[in-house]
Amino acid sequence: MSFLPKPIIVFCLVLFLIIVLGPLLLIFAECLASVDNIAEAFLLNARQIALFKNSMLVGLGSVVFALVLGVGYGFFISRSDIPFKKFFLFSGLLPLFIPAHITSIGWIKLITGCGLAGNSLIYSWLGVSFILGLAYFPFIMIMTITGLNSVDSRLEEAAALTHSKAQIITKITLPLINSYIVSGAILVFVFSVSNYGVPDLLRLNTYPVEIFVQFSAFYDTTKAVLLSLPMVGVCLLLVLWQRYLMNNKSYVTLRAKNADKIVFNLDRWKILAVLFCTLIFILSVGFPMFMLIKGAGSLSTYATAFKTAWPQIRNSLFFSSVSATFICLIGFPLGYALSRAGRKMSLFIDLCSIIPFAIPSAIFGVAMIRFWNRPLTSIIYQTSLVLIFGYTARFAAFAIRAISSNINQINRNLEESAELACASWTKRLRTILLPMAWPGIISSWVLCFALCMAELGVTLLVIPAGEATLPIRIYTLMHYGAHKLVCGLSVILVLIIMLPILVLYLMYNKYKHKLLINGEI
Amino acid sequence: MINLRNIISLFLVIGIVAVSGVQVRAEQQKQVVLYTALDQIFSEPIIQDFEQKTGIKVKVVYDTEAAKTTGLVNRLIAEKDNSNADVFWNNEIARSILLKDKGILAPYLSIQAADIPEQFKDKDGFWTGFAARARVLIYNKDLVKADDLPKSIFDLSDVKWNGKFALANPLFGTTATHCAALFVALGDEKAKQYFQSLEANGVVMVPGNSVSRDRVVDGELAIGFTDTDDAWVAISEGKNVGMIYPDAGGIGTLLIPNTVCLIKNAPHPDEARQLIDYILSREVEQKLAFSQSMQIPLRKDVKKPKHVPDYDALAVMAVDFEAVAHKLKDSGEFLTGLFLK
Repeated sequence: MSFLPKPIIVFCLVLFLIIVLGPLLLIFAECLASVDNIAEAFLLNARQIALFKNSMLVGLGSVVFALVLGVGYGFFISRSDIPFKKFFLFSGLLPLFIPAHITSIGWIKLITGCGLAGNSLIYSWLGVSFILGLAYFPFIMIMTITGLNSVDSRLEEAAALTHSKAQIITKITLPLINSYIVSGAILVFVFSVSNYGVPDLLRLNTYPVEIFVQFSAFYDTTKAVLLSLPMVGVCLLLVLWQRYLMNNKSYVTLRAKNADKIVFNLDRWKILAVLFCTLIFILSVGFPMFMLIKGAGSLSTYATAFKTAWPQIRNSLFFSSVSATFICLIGFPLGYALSRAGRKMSLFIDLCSIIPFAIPSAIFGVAMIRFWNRPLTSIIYQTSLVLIFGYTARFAAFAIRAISSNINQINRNLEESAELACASWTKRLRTILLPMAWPGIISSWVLCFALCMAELGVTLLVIPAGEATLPIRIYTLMHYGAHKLVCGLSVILVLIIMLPILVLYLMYNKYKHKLLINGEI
Repeated sequence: MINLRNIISLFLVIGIVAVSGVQVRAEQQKQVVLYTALDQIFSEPIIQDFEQKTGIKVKVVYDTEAAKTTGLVNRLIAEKDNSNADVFWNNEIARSILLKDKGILAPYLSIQAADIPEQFKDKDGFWTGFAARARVLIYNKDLVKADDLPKSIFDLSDVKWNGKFALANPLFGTTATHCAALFVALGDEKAKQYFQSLEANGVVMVPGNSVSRDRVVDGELAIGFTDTDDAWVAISEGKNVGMIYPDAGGIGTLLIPNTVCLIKNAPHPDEARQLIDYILSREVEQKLAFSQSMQIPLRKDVKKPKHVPDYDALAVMAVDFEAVAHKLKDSGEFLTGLFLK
């Protein structure tokens, strides 16, 4: 590792392990110690089998919906001659930042108005899958674009001599990007099976719902923790599969336009492709935003929202920006290690960072309380540091992988040449690595900022007394029936989240020759 | 290209701001830490009044509907070995008793609680109830004629209400307490038969009491189980709905009081007792009665608006809340199997 000295990487790794694994190992150890018969605790009874079945149906259903939406969307942006590509590219990322339950509420209102047939559709694994597919299809889109950018255009050019466009796409292009698409599908699966809000609203019993019930209705932390283990196992296996599929492939290179690649002229199908992308935009972004804006009503609602919730807005901005910065600071050396370290080390970092995704946020919150709430660490637990650590544990994986993807694209020869030239590591870092890796760092910051802004589960359990964030404010108002204010604050939240994305979009236009958007975990 | 020095400077500035922010927040002062499950919109003005009167800073953690207002109970359980909270102001009673059972509460018999009815306070002072909500039925006046109004929750087993009424998730909040109270009041067998009859009669399960209210307000359903505060929000906004205090001639209407508790090993015990005394004062009961949460004072002669009923005028369900709290798990497991398959 020529750019970064080992002690820096080891320091960041130890810090990361303490923040991520420390709380989880403690709570798992405590729970396993309190179980009399471990074998019995893991025994699958009829209820657990039903939960497993529902969770798998939701996971697979969401993957199918996301594939239908994401592959076509990514293809049209990357390889077709449709107009408004940049708009579709950035609007395609937005669903990741609109809380899925907001979309659910809108769909429930719309579909329940259609009568019983609509009810039975929405209140089922199909309804849950549809909404989660809409929320997570950007993962497939990102991976599809990345795959398409990595295809050797000579293969397609050769095929173009004897085959039609449709044949090139189905027989050459798509098979070449299969592994990327499957990799995106795995992400959709992991996020869908660990989602609590949507199946809860649509009354479908999945593992996260059952875990929440055990935790919040019966206060049985042990059972809740044990129930999370099957999903942790499935997620770890899928990550291993993903690593196998993506072996030696660059993770994410997301560009709307690539001068070296074949662009398919869609002719008369162009209008259909634009309609397809527009429809997805309407369903995934336009519809939920319309419901919120309609719910908020007049502009005075926003004035009231700002006036009454300014302390919470300020707190959210502060906590999220500091957390995103901290995540990037430790994510950069770890992303570097993931890219350049040996197989075992990178596998270790990869697996450690994925575990928090499979653990429901409520359990993670309790784990953090058990770990940090001690006299010795009160400076952490009783201050906003605990929130920063919580957000780091939840979202560091995004930054580590995005930065790692960026570093993967930096030629190793540069490092070796610089080392031979005897430049100090700080000079090499300053003059070579950081200038080339900054797009990954900036986009990681934006992504982590957005995720921290919307986080609720862990925040609720560990936020220091006297503090509150914007999502907490929204949810405390929700019960009271202040529908207008809730909608107004939700719009403000989404706009704040979108602001850095807009900056990224403008930067993209300014630095489009250099900037690669790395938005993948 | 963006200047590297600028990026590093930006990181440094943010880091310094973060550290200073953390240090400022870590400063100690005369304060009390309150965890409250009562909606912020109702509890905040009361807390501000206490701060003004005493000069004690109240640091508050609020619960949210997202956690079905059980997040703080879980937080208190997890913090048991190193309490950070001084006072827990719960918006209901059963989880306070659960916290007592788990050894998280300390006894405190407030002088302010002397005239609160015995049913609503722990004899050892681990929890004290005040300002209650009633479990009521909300109905849509366009869909239910005055002559057809149900007088009892048992009327909802009648086929004429088939598929027309809502019940919130029976595992959470006041609905869970109500269900467990019915198990205690009726006995297990009768309670099970009752809930089975609701299930057979097409009860519509909704995530929470506010949703139950909204479905009735929107005219999607005729009747819904809910709480007085939820129903009053709709009535005060002029919606075409009304509320029924059920079972006046039978088992009575369940009243679920707020409860306030002192936390064991509270870091600021003196300030905590002062805060508890204030929360249990008649002044606070009056404020809650006049607020939009229309909480029913449990003491006589507390001023209240006309729409808040007199405690004495209500046929209150006589239940032992300790027994109700201990029944929560069994009733919850039965209802999970029945409604949440």
